[in-house]
Amino acid sequence: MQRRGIHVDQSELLCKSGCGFYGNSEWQGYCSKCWREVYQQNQINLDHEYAKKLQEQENLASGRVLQSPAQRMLQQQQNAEAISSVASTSHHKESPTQRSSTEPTSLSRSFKEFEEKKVQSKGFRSRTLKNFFSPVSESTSGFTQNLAQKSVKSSPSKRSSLHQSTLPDRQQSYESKRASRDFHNFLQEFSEPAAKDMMKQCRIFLEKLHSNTNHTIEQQSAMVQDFYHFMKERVISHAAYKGYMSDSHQEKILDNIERFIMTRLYRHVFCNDQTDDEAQDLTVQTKIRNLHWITASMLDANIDEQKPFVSDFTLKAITAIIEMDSKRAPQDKIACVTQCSKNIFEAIKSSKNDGTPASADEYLPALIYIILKANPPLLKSNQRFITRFSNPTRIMSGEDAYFFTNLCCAVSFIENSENGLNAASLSLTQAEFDAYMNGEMTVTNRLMEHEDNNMCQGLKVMYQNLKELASLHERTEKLFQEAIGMKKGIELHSKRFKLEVDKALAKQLSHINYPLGSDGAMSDESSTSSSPTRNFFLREENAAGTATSSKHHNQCTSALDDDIATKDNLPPPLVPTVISNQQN
Amino acid sequence: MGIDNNRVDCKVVLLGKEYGGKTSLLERFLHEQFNEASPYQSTIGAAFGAKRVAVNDKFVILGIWDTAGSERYQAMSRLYYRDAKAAIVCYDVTEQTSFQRARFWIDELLQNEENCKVYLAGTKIDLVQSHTKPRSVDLHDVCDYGEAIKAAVLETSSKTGENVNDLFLKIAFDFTKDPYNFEKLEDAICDASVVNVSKADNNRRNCCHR
Repeated sequence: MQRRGIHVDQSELLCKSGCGFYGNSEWQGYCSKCWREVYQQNQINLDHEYAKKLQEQENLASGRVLQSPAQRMLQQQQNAEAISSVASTSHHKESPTQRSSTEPTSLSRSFKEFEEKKVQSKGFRSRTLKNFFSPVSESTSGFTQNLAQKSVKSSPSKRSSLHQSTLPDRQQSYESKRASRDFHNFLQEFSEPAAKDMMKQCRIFLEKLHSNTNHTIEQQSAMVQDFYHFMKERVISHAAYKGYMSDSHQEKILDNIERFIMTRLYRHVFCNDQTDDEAQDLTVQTKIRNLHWITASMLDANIDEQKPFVSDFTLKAITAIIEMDSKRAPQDKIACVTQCSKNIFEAIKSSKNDGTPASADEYLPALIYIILKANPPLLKSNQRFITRFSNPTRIMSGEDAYFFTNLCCAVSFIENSENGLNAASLSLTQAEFDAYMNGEMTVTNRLMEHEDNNMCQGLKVMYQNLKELASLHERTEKLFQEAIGMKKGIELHSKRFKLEVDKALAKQLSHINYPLGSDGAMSDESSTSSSPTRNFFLREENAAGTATSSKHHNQCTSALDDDIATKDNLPPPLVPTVISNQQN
Repeated sequence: MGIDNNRVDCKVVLLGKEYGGKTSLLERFLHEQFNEASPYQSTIGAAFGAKRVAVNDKFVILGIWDTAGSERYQAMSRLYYRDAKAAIVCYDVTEQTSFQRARFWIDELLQNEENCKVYLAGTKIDLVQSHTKPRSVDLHDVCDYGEAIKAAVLETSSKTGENVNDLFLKIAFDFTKDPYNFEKLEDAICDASVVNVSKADNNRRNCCHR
């Protein structure tokens, strides 16, 4: 396109400022000298700083909830200013925007966005041109660019509407790109005519929707629904789709078209500023925040979070419902609702002791409880987005539809204080309810503990483990003590046993010795020879004072003692036993 | 059964007082079982179910929506029966109040969805038959009321399975009688890549022709 432009019009090559030198597309059509003049001004630097400041502010504001109202405000402002400022659009005013669009890639995408916003809020009307020069060259956004080119020559009102419509495309470029890529990959499965036709129809439709923003959200919704219907009919009847008429193909095609289109239109139609979606979101959010004190038992929700599996499932359910906002395509959002619901069913089933599956009587209260716990972002907007733009078959009668309807019921119950969530439906008196709402009354201690336990699951597990470790330690200690005691017992026992045996042996010996000991010379000899040995052993044992070899000594001494006792009438061999006991 | 739970021809809502036997009725129809503390449960939730029913060589996929029967949620019930083709309003034959509530549901339903067909289902009839509990809702009264609002009346037992399949087959049969639905169904069946299921359902079909 660029190349052809050069060939067609020679004058395009000259510097825009009209100095007579040739310009360069790198410098937005200026010559090097004029380029420097235009862009190295202090004013520009100031603008730069201002944009940076905006970015910093934005960084401080965390989360989309805070971000989106700001964006919308700017958008509204821009809409209001658009018409008034179109006439005053001049060449000079366009230049800063051009600079921003050709800014080196070192600047982050978000930074560029804020610069754009700054430009918008100042009333510069150069978006269309900027879009034309934009380095972002998405293959699928080509039609918007073409459109932009055309509208430069068209009437101001048309330009202003286009201005708004092109906005979402750039802001969501990441998701858009991914959606386009996914869609392209999907199309590759199909024959050329079918793929081409799908792409063409989608483009025409997106163009149609983008080109006119005077439509109300309901009209847009109807347009999208008509398109689904049109595509369904087309797949069945059109020649290009020959071979893809089976149910599964048809479903797949419609599913992918829906995902592609809605991802591309998301910024445009989600939480639209024509509607009160945002206000509703805030109302619901505040209401849920004020209802933080509600417990599962108040709603008759059969969820016992003290049980380990149950808290796992409730956490999963909460994560799923919060995740809904991060998805763009309606079917992905609905899938989150289904995921959440399945986890709720698991939680109810685990809470019950008889293992029967959860019924609707138990499911709806549990879902309400989960929503109150999760406080999902932009709940109302998401709900309306799905209702408006999902393929109708999805939310009519199937399982996903059932779960989504329950979500709608739960939201409507929470919102509605007349017929829905009020003192009566929680089995509280009005006074109690008001006290809870005003924060005058807090949930009882037992429930607070319950809450705390839920709050820090990790800590809870840690404390439990610590307790178990401590008890394990205690038990090991006890085991160790008992083992030592047992060892002592065994030692003592073996000593006593030996003594007993020795005694018995001695008795036996003396009994046998008497008849043999009639020979006096023999026994005299033994006594004289043994007495020094005995004295030696006793001495040694007293000196050493250890029990290491006491067994051996005992054996020897007792044997000798017994031997001697029979002859010399010495006291019984108690001495070694006493020593060994003391040592123990 | 291998049915994609998101493909449903006929939406059927179950209305009635809580613990009035709605869930058991659904369980009996879907899984041919009555959960009297049976430990073998393949399903995690018994709030939604889809089942294919054969009527005159056509297949109707009934999608059954169980609803929360508690009074506190009755303001929201409108959301449930939107676009429903049929509604089974359950009452406990041993409990008079449950029938009063059933009448309330029907009044509200017909105000919002004129074209929704109503089926009055008395539940727990086995309790009366076995003399465990006395009957407190007279069948004649119900039939009189049913005639006035053009609703079919059936007394069922989820425990024994009595009249449960008949009830759902009747719903499917009435659904196919509507030419608008019938036309739609033809499409659904041509596309459904199922051929050899009709045999098993042949005997069931007869129930509907009574």
